[in-house]
Amino acid sequence: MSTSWRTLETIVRKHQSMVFSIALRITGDWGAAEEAAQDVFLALYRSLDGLTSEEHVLFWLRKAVVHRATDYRRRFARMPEMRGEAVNDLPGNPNDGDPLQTRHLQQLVACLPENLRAAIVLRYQEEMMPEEIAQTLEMPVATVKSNLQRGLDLLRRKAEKVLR
Amino acid sequence: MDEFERALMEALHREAAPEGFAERVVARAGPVKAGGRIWWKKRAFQWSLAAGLAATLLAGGLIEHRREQQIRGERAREELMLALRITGVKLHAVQERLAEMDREGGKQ
Amino acid sequence: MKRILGAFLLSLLLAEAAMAQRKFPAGIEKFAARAEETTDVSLDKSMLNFASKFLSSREQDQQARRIIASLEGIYVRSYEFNKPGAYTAAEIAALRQQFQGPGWSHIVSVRGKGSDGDTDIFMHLGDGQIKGMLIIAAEPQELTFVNILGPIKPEDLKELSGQFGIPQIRSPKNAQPEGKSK
Repeated sequence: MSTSWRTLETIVRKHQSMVFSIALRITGDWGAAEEAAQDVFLALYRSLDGLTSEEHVLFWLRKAVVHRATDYRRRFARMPEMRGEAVNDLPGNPNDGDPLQTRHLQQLVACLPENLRAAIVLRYQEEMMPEEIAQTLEMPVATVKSNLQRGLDLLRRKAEKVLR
Repeated sequence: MDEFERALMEALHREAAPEGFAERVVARAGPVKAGGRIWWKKRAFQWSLAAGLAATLLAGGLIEHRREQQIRGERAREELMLALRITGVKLHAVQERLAEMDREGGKQ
Repeated sequence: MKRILGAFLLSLLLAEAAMAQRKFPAGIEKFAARAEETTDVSLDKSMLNFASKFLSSREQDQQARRIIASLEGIYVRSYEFNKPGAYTAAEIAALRQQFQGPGWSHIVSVRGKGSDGDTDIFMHLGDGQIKGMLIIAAEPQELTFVNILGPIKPEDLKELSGQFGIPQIRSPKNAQPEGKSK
């Protein structure tokens, strides 16, 4: 693949929403998500020659952004819970049936333990199957399924508690 | 998939990337070395940029010039926000420690 | 005698001026060789003005615009090491020593617990005004120098510590002058 700026720009425009969104759900912070997402595309730019297909690029991007966003989250976890333009400050989706529940769910996902959060985001935002998630996160499928179940249970319990 | 899972999918919709995101990425993809000077200080890049600008202007490529200016500007903005972010992190650490000392002092 | 004294005073003034103009403490380049990653941001007045034109209407960008409006430059150098022990306490003490002279006030010195690291803040003063601020943050695996040139205001510092994704906390009673924690 050519590594011209135009190629990079094309790839970024095509996948920026996906990469940024995964980073946002994992870091819970708009600024950190943008930095992580930028880092991922720059790393992709350096690795383009080794990528062989569109599917490969997609797989690579998802894997890289999960790792990078998790790193950012761990780095800033030295501080008290991140604020700034946090998830609950984001404009709601105009198609949201219930903006309050949507934002609350976004917040709950951002507060999930690290190992559960990535699986939930890849399943419910990216609509990936557990086998695909297992490949991306480099863990056994059984572990992914377990994390998805535990994550979902935790979200349900917390959502019920607040919305009651 | 039950109702809760559908609500979760809806909540976890993809967000649009921030305005100008692609330009900032492309701007950062310029020739920067870790530990080296930022790109616009490299003389070689300055010469190649000057030559590129002259060519595009001669060819009537003012639009291209404006686009490059935009990229450079987005790059400068990113550098600024990074600098302020790093500064904020360090000052916050100081604030935290001072607040902790204050609390410890109050307990004695 | 007068001539010798005059020359001596002039050299002190020149040294102080040189220190003020320097973007980073002298001798920090050696850390680059030991670092796994280096971040280098150098923005003089013209670059700050240029960057300012591309700030958006978002709150964070507008805060940045307010903070940099009167500044002459922002310089950040950060070294990340892959393990602790890449630098010695003596090396950092020697860097701090560079800012103990006239025109500098060591306003904050916090010593962290465990892996928190140490941070020192120096203000550059002249004609009764703040002319800049220098931060030296020494953590086990990271060494950061921030030099802000220009009349940075205390409220700007509060903004800096409370924005850009970093949570704000209630201010303690004002930062102790020469507040050394032991």
